[in-house]
Amino acid sequence: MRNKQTREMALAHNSTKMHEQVSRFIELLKREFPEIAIDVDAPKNPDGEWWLDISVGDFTTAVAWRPAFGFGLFTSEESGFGDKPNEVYRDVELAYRRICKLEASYRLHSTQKMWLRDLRHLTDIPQTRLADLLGKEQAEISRLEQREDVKLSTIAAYVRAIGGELLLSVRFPRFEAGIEPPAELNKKTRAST
Amino acid sequence: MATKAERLREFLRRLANAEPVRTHDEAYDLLSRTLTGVENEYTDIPVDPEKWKEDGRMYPPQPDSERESDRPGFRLYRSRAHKIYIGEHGTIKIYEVKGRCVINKLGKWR
Repeated sequence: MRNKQTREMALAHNSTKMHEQVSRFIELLKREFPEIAIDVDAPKNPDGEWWLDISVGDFTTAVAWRPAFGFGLFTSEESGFGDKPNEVYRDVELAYRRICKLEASYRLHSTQKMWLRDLRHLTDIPQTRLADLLGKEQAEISRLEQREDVKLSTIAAYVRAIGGELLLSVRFPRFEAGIEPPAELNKKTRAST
Repeated sequence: MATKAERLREFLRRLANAEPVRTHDEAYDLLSRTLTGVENEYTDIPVDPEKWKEDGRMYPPQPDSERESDRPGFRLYRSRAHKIYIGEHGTIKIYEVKGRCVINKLGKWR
């Protein structure tokens, strides 16, 4: 309890001095990942080295920030003592997008299946751009990406907008096959006549 | 070249076996010298603490990594994977960020 109070006191002391870039980085990540947990480890001197311990589900990473350099990201699995960052981003938007991509890559290589947001991160398309492509508000896209029950046509439109194609397949004990909803078949028939 | 994990083990071994020291500054210097010595011996990567980019070497905590300490009598430093407590009487405690203590080297009290 004492440790947590000390950390919170330090954060409160430094919070008004938290650099704009660090705040903006956290804001972008929280908007992208509503379920994210970020532990802010502030330096004694606000102009010193900040650490952000980030976790999104099973994906965890530490990000450092120093005023003279920007955001330091660690992409190597090998860790020793006093490691320096593998990648350095002076631009907060680029740093945030890189974290998105790292999280998506982690899920791609893990046994967890991906969902819509993971695909979008792998194709490097920001929510704002996708919203424009689909003629929706960014908040709608954010809500869509968190829903579990989504219309097939909505998923198809989303995947098309980020440059892919939705394929459906079924598996039975005696056979496997691709399937397509009638609406899609009708679209193709109208297109070919 | 030995891996970082192997060099880290050697650094901790040498630190544990080093003569205890009396003050924070002596302990900070001991930690830095020991790590730098291991890296010089086991790698041919030139030391460059000013450059903030992975170069294969391990580095001691820099002054700007100090944070408010939750332990009276200790100053706290942070790196990617470790929290380093250095006491005013020369004690060095290094913890993994996840919590495991990797070394608790007492200072020389008298």
